[in-house]
Amino acid sequence: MRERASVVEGGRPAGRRTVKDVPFVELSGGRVQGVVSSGSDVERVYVSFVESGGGYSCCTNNNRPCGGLRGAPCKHIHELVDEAILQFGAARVAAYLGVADGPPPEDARTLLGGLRGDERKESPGVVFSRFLSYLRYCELQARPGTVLEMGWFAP
Amino acid sequence: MVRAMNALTTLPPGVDEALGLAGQLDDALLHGFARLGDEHRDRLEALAGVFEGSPLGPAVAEAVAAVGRSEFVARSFLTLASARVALLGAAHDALLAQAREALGRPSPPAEEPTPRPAAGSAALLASSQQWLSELAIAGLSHLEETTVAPFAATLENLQADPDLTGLAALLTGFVNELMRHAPASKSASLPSFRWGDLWSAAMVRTHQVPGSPTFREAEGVLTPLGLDVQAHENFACFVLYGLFDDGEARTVRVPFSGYKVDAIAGAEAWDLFGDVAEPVLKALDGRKTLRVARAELRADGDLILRSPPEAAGAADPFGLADRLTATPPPPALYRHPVHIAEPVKLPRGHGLPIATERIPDGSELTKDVAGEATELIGLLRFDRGGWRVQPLCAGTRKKYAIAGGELTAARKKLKNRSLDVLKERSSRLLRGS
Ligand SMILES: [Zn+2]
Repeated sequence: MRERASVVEGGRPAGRRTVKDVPFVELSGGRVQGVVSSGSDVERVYVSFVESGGGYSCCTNNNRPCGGLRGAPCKHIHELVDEAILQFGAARVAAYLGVADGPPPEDARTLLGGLRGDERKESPGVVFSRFLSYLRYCELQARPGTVLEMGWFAP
Repeated sequence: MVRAMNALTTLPPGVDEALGLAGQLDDALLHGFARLGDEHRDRLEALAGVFEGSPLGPAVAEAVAAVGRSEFVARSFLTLASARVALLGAAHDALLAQAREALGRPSPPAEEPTPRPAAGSAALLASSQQWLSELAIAGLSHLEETTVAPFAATLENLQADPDLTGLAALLTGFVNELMRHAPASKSASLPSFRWGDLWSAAMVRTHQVPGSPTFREAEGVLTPLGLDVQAHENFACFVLYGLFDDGEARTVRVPFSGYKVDAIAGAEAWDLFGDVAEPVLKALDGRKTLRVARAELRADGDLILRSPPEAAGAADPFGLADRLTATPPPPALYRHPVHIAEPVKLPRGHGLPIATERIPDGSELTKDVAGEATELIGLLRFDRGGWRVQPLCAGTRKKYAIAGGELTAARKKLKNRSLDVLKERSSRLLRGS
């Protein structure tokens, strides 16, 4: 008989993220995408992605190209993928990017090294607005009291 | 007490059947109502048969007939979800009665707050119902990222309405989980019973907006029993179980609930709850009681802290365990075995399995500590077809271990605070964009 389980383990982050460097990372639309803080300018963030197949992009939120892209993913994309591995686990990130064979690569360098793709030119608007809607979670108000529905979500 | 726990090894009549019938609906949900085979139709008809003669009977029969003819309207799916919820609700009642009989503990009455009018949220609720229906039609085992993504806008609007917190927190966790499993065709196994739970619970909650429980202001002394941690990527509900004495002693839940981002988890998530939470964590660390003033004692068993409690004397949870009481059951629509959390004190050799799935990473009260305890205070839980215990407090030869006792030390080790960083990013970029 199949086990009738209402509560299962799973969904715990694989490690602790550093939101100061990478405030936002998600797996969406076949891409690992997100926002990486600029190391030098507090007003600036980079919007980056790498997609299944290896295509990649990095630019500022004002759509200025990232100077670090020289025919290969820049350090922002590496930081982004490392944070994705911390948040979602290496196996899921690798599978999402279509790197399904063999043991999951343990860091961004190995993972990105196994991909061959070209730079994509795209407006950062979509990812940036997803980041803003992600930040919304910090401002949402919940109704006080035990949220019974959370009983299905053990840590 | 060991004999009392032995009484729990046999399930009350009807519970196993109810869970089995729910599983038949789950099969159809996984398979997809658009591609039901004869064996699915037969099983749905058997489900309808069980409801014959009950108030839900005609509606369930009609819904089963409609989906059998491939007529898919949201109302049919709402009815099927209500049927599953009713089965699990009956199982909840039977199980809770069994536990309380074994414990010799009277059941407090349930309060049924009047649902609020949906008014402004009617369109949102209808749109959620529509999406849940589409999931059922397509089948959860055929799930793709594109099945889930279009629901994002509705979900954002649900989250923005504090009156809909329960439904929004549930759907947010469900959506996250579906995304983790997409494409489902590549997943080795899908948690079908759990998804049946989540789908049907969300569906019935699109039908009405819950009312508020009644409350009175209270002050007294709270003895912490341990922390129950419930969380997914975007919501945390931390519940401190305690014995609250304001002249009369009773078990209470002291809840801390809020939205969060996925990057904030574990000990750091307590940053969401500020000044009120800090003394609570310190009391757990120091094994202290708390003096509580101007709190809201609700008829549903919640004790809502409105101001930071003050540390008082040394806590003696095992000494007070004989005074543990049952908390009131949830309103009928919300009853499900997953919500059973009956506080109990158990001696060594109680024989119940430990609910390890409910122990958070880094807890000082691990499965091993619970297993070696001389005595144990925990929550009696029901899952996977049997009773289990979630440890809250474990007697050892030295000071006792308590769920959540490790958090103050863990929080001292945190370097930068993610919530502060994100709020800074948020204020800079939300205004500047
Ligand atoms: Zn870059």
